[in-house]
Amino acid sequence: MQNSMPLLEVKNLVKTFPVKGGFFGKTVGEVHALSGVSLFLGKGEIVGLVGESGCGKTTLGRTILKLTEPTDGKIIFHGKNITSYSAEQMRPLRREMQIVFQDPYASLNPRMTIGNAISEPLKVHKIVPRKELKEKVLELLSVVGLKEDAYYKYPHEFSGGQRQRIGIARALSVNPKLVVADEPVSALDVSIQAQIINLLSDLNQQFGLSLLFISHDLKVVRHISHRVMVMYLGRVMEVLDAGDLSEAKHPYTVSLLSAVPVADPKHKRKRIILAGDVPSPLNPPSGCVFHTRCPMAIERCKTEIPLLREAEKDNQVACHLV
Amino acid sequence: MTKQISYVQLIFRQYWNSWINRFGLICVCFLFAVAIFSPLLSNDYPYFLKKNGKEYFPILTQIFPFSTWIHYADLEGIDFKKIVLEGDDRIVFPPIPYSPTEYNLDEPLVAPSSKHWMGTDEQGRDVTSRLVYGSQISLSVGFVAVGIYVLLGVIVGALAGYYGGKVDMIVSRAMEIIMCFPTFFLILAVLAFIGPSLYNIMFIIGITGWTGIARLVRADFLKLRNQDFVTAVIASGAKPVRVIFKHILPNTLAPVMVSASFGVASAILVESSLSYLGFGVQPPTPSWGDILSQSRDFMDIAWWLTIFPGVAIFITITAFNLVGEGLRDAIDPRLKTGQ
Repeated sequence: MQNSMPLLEVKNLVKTFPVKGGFFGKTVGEVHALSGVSLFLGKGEIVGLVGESGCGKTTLGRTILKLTEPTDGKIIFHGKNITSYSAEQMRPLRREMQIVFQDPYASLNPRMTIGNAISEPLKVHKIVPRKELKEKVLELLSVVGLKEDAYYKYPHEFSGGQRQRIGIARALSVNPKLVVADEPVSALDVSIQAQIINLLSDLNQQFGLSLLFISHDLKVVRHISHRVMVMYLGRVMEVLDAGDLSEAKHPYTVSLLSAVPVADPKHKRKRIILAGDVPSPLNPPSGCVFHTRCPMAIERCKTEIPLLREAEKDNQVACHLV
Repeated sequence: MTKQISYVQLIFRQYWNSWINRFGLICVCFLFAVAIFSPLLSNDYPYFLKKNGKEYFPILTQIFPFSTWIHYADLEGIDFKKIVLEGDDRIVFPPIPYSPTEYNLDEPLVAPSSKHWMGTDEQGRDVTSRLVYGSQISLSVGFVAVGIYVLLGVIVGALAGYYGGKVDMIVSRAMEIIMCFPTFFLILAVLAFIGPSLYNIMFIIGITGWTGIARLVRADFLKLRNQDFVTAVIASGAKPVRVIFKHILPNTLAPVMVSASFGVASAILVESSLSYLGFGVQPPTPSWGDILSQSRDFMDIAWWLTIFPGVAIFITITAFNLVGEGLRDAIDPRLKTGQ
């Protein structure tokens, strides 16, 4: 599945949010949401992005789509450097990159019928003639497994899982090459999660859709992705093949994996419980951002930032100990 | 496949569920009907006259004053009230056979009777007729003024809320400055300069009233522009105009509608107050405030001059407020599909 032709390449992406304070709204600090993130996404590839809440996963997803402006770094989509594209320049490109949101209750306009909501991107890009709009929308509804009568209904008439399908149908309407799925299943219960994940997986196989699948759930990511990228506090800790997850090198990945429950009551395993909280992105730790919680931290970790490097084939780790 | 129910139909069904909403809407419709058909309801020209074997429709000359094809040369200068009917001559008057400006010094301050339903004023003008024509003034001031300021307020508020930053700063400060003026006295002062007229009143209420609407719309836009469904539209490549007017605006209309219907009520009140103070619509044009103003001198002997216009203003304002509140509930996004 892994194709050498990159669809998306992100190089050293930095995003900081200014913190305004004081009477005249002076900038008093900066939130370091992303500090030099690099990413590579091939055609038809699913990359899973995992990390704790607040580690910059969502910011990365939105910055790639230029829904928030990057502070520094490069975003190369389809060979085009779109980093400094204006909103006007981005508009025609938007039909090739879409987003699916975490909260299915907030992602649909409560005043719009499903038919209108799904056909909106089609109307914006004038892809389908007006007469065939409805037909196309009904087709999309059936792709995501919804009944035809959804067309005239309003979002409040649907459950969370159905709404998430609607969100996916909307994202697919323009036949995008890349979909950023921003925690598409974390608001859903387990049985629905499986349906949505299988749906995304099918779409990937059928249409060769590339996915950046953001989640905080390693179990889900392992199931759907080809490659997994682990983030912590705005930095990439480890990138590896989904199949090799059990051989992860980075202490953070290892501790995350040890927290995944196993469906066997007799199973004994060593849990690595991380002490303390995620440090504030307002004032990230020096050196390796993980050193404050790392069970194996050495003196060097406090001063020197570890670079992401190839530890093994298809396994990049940012750790001094590997 | 279920039948398509448009959004407007859905709102209407929801609105119609409650009797108090129905009452409000019926009152407003009644007022509109009265205002539109006032020349037919109240006129000193008869609907129909048959005299000397010839048939006339004199009221048409009043309804179409500039038409040339309805012209009765032989009726010129005739007083229809004093016409002598012989043989099969017939005359049919409107329900209120007086014009609002028709004075009759023989009948000043006549109490309500079958001849004058709501009595007459000190010049013998029929109060019913004046009230009927006054509804035209009230409703047109209410709607045009509110129309102007809703349009202004929505556009300004939407731009401020959507773009934020400097645009928002400038607009918000401008709104605060305008809100510092005591509106009513500003209107009085401006009218003193540009002269009291119906259009000036509409214009001034229109350009001073938009701040309330703009604040509502701005606040909603600030809240909504970061919602996922708006981001989704931006991510699908829509232009700002489409995002603002098609996707965000419909979600902010509920408070605007409520505010607008309260606005119609208060604009009618302002017009009445101005007329009461003599700065409004100039006599002899009938206006509710103007009738109230006259009643001051005769309050102890002519109660009907106070009660009827007062009740008319009261009902109108209540009706618009009821409609506003009913709409607010009906536009609620958690709509039931209705029966």
